Amino acid sequence: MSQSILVIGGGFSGLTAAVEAAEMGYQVYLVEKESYLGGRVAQLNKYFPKLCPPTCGLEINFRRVKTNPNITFYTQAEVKSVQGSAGNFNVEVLVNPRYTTPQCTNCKPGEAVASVEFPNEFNFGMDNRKGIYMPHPMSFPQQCVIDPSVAASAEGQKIKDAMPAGHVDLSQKPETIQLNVGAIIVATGWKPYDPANMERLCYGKYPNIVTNMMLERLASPSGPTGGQIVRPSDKTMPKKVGFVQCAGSRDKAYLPYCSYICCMATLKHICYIREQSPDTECYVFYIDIRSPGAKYEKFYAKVKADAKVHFIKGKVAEVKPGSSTDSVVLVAEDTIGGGKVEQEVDMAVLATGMQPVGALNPIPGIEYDADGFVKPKEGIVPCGCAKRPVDVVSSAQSATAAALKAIQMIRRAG
Amino acid sequence: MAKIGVYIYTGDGIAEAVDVEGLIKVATKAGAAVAKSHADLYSPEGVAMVKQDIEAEGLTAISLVGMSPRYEYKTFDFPGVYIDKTGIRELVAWSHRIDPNDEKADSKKEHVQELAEDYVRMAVTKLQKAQMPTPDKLEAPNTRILVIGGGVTGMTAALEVAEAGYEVTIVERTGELGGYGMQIRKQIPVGPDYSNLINPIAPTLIEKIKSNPRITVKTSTEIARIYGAPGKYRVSLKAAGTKSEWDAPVPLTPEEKLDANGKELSAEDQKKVYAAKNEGRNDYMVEDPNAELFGAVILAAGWKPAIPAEGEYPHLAWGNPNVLTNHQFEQLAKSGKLKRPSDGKEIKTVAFVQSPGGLNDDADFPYASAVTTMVSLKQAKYVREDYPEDGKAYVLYQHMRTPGQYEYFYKGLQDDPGIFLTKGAVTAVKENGKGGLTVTVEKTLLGDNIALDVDVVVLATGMLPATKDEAVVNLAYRQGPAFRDLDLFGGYCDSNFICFPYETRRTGIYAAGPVRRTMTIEESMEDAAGAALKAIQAVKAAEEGHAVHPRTWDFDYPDFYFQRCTQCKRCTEECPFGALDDDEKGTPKPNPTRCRRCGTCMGACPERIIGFKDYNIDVVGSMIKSIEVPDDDEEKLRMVIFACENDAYPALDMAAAKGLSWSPLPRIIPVRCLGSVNVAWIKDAMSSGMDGVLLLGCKFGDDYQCHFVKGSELADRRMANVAETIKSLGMEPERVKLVQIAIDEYDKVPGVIDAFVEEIVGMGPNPFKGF
Amino acid sequence: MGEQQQMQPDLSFVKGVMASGGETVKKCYQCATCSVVCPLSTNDSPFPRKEMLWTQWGLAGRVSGDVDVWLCHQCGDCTKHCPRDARPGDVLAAIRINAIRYYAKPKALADVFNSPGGVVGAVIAAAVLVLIVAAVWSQVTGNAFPFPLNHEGKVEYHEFLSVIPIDAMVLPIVAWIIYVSYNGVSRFWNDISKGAGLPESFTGTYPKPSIGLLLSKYLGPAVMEILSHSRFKKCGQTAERARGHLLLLWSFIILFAVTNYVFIAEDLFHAALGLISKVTPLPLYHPVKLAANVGGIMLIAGILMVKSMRTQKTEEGVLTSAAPDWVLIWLIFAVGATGIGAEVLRLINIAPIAYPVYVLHLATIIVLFLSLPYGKFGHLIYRTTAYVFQRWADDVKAGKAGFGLEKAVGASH
Repeated sequence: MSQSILVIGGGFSGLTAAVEAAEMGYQVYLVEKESYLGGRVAQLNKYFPKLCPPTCGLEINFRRVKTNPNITFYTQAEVKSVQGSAGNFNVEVLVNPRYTTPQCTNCKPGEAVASVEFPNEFNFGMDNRKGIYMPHPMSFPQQCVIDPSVAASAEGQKIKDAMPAGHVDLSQKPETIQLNVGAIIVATGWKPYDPANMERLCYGKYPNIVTNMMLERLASPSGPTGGQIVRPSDKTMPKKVGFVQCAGSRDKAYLPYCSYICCMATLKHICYIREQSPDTECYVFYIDIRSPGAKYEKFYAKVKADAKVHFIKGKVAEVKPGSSTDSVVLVAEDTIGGGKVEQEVDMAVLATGMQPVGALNPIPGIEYDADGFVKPKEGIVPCGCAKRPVDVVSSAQSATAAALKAIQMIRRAG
Repeated sequence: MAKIGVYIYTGDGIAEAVDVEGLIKVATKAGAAVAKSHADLYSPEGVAMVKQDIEAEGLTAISLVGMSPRYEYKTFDFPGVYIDKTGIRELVAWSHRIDPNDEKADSKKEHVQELAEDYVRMAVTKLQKAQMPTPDKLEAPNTRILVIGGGVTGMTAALEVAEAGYEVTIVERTGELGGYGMQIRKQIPVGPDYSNLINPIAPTLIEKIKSNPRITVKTSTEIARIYGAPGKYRVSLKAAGTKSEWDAPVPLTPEEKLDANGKELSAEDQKKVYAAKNEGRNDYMVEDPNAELFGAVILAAGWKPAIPAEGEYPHLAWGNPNVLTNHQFEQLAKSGKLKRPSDGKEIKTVAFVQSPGGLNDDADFPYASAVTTMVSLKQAKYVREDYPEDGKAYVLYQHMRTPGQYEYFYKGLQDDPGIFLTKGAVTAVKENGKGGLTVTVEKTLLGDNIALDVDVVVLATGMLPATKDEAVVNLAYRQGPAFRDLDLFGGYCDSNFICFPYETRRTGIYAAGPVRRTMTIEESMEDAAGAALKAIQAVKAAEEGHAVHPRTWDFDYPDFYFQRCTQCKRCTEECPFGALDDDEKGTPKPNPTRCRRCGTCMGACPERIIGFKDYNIDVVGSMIKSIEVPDDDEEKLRMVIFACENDAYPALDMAAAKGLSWSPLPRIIPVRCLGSVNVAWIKDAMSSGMDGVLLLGCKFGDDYQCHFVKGSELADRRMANVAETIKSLGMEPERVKLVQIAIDEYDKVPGVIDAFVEEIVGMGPNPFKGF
Repeated sequence: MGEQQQMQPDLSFVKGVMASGGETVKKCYQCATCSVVCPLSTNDSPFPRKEMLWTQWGLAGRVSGDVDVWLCHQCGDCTKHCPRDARPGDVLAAIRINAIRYYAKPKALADVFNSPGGVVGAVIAAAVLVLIVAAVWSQVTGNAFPFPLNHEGKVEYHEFLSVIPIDAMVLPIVAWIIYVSYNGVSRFWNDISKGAGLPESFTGTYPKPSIGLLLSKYLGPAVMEILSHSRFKKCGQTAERARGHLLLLWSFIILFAVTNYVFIAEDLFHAALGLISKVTPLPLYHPVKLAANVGGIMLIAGILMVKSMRTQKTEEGVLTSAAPDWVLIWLIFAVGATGIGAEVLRLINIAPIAYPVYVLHLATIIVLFLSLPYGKFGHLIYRTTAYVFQRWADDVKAGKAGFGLEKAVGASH
């Protein structure tokens, strides 16, 4: 019987579950596949409806992690398998090398000499990074990462030589560790649904079609454009922006469920854009605007009061090239106004939904439903978006609840 | 007196930016027993060096002068040794790079060196003044949890608490457990499969409650008052609907404190008015000997159906006997086959109206949510259940709000051939002369405006939180019986923090379910589990003597030097968490387990008698005074910047990391919260010849980002007063300024600082320099 | 948008459509993807999104008055892209079957001609009728019955049934078909005029063009479009279906022409007026006979292509087929098969099989054409009408409407 708890996923849900359980005095292992904690929200510019920066809450939770003796966390680590049963799970974790030592918190010397560039995954490839890098300014842990592809190369050596002695260790190897835990909280979260799957929406075919998550990076001060919302093709502020709601969601061919956050995210994105550009028109093509509850309804009311924001009830089902350079035409039926609408826009934002990570990389030993959401079972507690599509507030609730469930499990078993 | 070691990191460009030897000299001069530098301080070698000195020299406090305090953790961990960190890498080296080809390079270097030296002086001074915090443990706290409300949320919370091994008592106002969950015919699913209605789950919960030995249930009971603090609440219960001498007294509103001509009443008169107002109630500081003891409270008081006012929604014929709220319709459905209350006629055609705004507004009813949308679908199904042959239900929505997996619920119910759905604006409901109603809907998906003849119209009205019109928790607190910010949240007992939904301004009391935010039964049950954990944590924190969110690691607690207290009541009024009560005379009575350690009381106290072991008026005041102020050099003005350690300070770190730079004249002091900034520090700064003070703190207002809720806002008010004082001394009030900066605005913060410095330079030196 | 409409949802209509191939209609949640992906839907009156909702709401009148239903060729693009699996293409097909039934008179016959059993029964009935007439005719001619041979001892259908009894039998049926079809089409026309929301300048009363003008001005182009199948070919998912269908159409035209030649030459000039000597059976080298055989082969080939395409597309899931679809396919196949069969058997001179096959040929033809106003075959007249109407309505909306409406238009100025 083990008294410790494993949390899979270091995004907002996993982070919350981990600190809440650790602050109850339980030993917690936190396993995160990225090189930093914070997950999806770390990429967000602001939260709806408050328009406050997610990093603010992350800073607090990181401090809780730093100051709590009960938390052991692994980054760049993946759970390979889960065996055993409630009270006594054996978990195999693969920890990939970072090729740096904990005191290596400053990549600059290495970056200065590195020549090879890689698309920056944190910014969805909208800019580049070097072979040694800090994933983002708020990265926690604040420890440089070396790309595995350069580790073994001359590039890697060049970087090592430029860095202070002992900061880079290219000899690090992937290592597999075994954890014995009493309960497992699955907080593997979500991935933005791959827009390339919806051929009709022409993502990748025309340069100025971006996703809602890409827009978060474009709007963020730490993003590829330093927070300037510009369209990819010519880096100019778009004068007309179209929002394509339910890009994949509520569609049996892609994501049959509603992704919960996209409507609110789009309303938020309109705020970003309208704040930067007083004369940009926004067009929202929707099936239903899902802004339920007092707080969200109020936010929707604020946005729709803006004369430059237009809502069209009809799903975009066709995208064509526009008349002016790199613009696109969004085609939908205006089901209330009547007739088909062909709206030309400088940039289109696809409100792509959330796909649970379980649908893409399931973990052996964890059970999933048809959509890839985790099925709870004795000792295995899903939370946040690994359990069902939810916003951040609900994730925090869900994660706190999950921490209690795990603790109860351990009490029963012990 | 602490034996101090100062360790200066010279890597990452620090050695290039400053004369390290100079810093070591400064440290020694300031009183450090050991002052060394290390090129790789944070490496195992660096740690070993420090460890060796601690053992060899018996150091009791060390200062790591190098990378930002936010980055190093758990590497330097020496039991019994006080460790402090100063981030000169970010605040000096990276943010003040000098181009060697710059002709002014030398004078700039001089500035940077002085900046670094001041940081070293401040670091040493802090260690000289600071003491090691010691936990303030609560002796034998009570660990029993009180759950207010016996509905699904309350019952679930109780079961979750019991399952975690704690005793719990449910207090339910009505005669029965179950709440609204027992008043419904069917309910929305609580998990997959979502495609159809399920039977109410409340009965099963009631059974579990009855068979659980850890749970006590008190029905027909309500809270008279909750006195005390987490770990030692004394709760006075009373029969529901009765008056009690233990009912929590209500403080005077600002209006009540004024006389007829709007003049503030004297303290005496105020007491009289207060007494009259709380006739028959014991003062909030009086202990009820028969009260029950609890460690923490879960508020699950739930919701009340919203009933439109008389004459409201005339276009929807509200007031007509055949126009019902969803609540009234649920009661009909629960009582049997659907029949009209007005004339007993079978209800075969029903229009469910989702949004009252007609053509002007597509918002749902006030306090509506996804729940009300789904209830309309659920109730549409009732019509079909009762009249499968010819029953017709029209769901008239503006937006079908079935988020997440509830989409499957929508999908499942729309399959019924007798449920007709369309988006549309309901513009009129009128009697049709055939004993029914005609509903006019415009801008529909059908292509025109339509008119529907129905037996009954059902309005999807909202769910009012129980705390909308009453305190419910009835706290015997100086700041009053209710939660704060209720108006801001429309009566919901909510948190304003997206990341921390359980953190309200009343430590130890955690709201769950529809009293906090409209939720489905499924969400409420999950929420109940979350609140249960927070309640248990609050008890545990009291036991261990550390703070709860957001400083859970903090074992320190503010000391009060009561001998010098003037009963000015500022601390008791300003504490955002109501941690301070007061006695007859107005002397504050601290409740350590309610305290969140923000230091707002310390910032508020004009007598400077409140402080923490390592963070108090003297520590910070001395740090300020340790800054060297050249009194003859126009070029070398000096300013202090107080920066919120959670938001503004990280923003500075990131700005530095991004290579942004700002003026070398100000010295930055991280503070827990701007709320803890005492005007004494401003005076210290100005009187020691500084030329200006800048406060960088969180956004305030309705969407406040301050994690201590009011800190930055209170600081702003205090600074307004300071400005007056400064003016009276013949100085420009603009020398003291507060700017709101969010953590992600690192791209803006250097500009903010430089603009402030420019302003001060424009004003010229502090006239009192050198006196 | 139009003025307020009193809604009386007809649950039985919803159930009716759901029963005849449109069982998915309730799944639609009005995202309108279908209207956009439909290659045939127009910009100012997109379909089939609205038709789906009208059907969900049981608005029988609204649906039957909707010309767009007939501009749909069940391409299946909407069905393929529908996020909810509501299969609009199939629902519209079901709506069309229901519409034909709605305009049919008597409705009972619609049930007969849309069900396999009914059609088989009808064919048998028709065969019996033919036999009776032939039996009676044999009394008149004194020819052998049922297997008469000509003076060369060969099978000759003329000996069995000459044109006079055939016409006597067929002409009344043709008259009936024309009457019922006209009746249905004119009611259909009124409904779609109402549904089209024509300009108010016509003082509320909907314009009714003279048949003459419709034929002269609008039928021509419509027919040309049909002959080229230009619309059907626009289909994304099932464009291939157009090929077989086009072949079939042309075979019908050829066979129609041939039949008319025979009718005029044999029935009129020879039998009735005695101007020329007997022309049938035409020798194989006779151009008309060649045309007839080519037409017959085209018919068989066409219908087989239609069938295999429909099967394939059904398997691909872009369309589903209801009983009326298969009934029509098999009936047409039967006509072709018996026709070719009868000819071959006559040439190889096997009387005992030749005559029965000939009887079946006549019977299936009779049933096929009888089903025109009742069965799926009816799309021939209703879709053609819809094509004509659309052209005309566009002109009316554009204010270019002719045929005696100038006064009304002028009056509104």
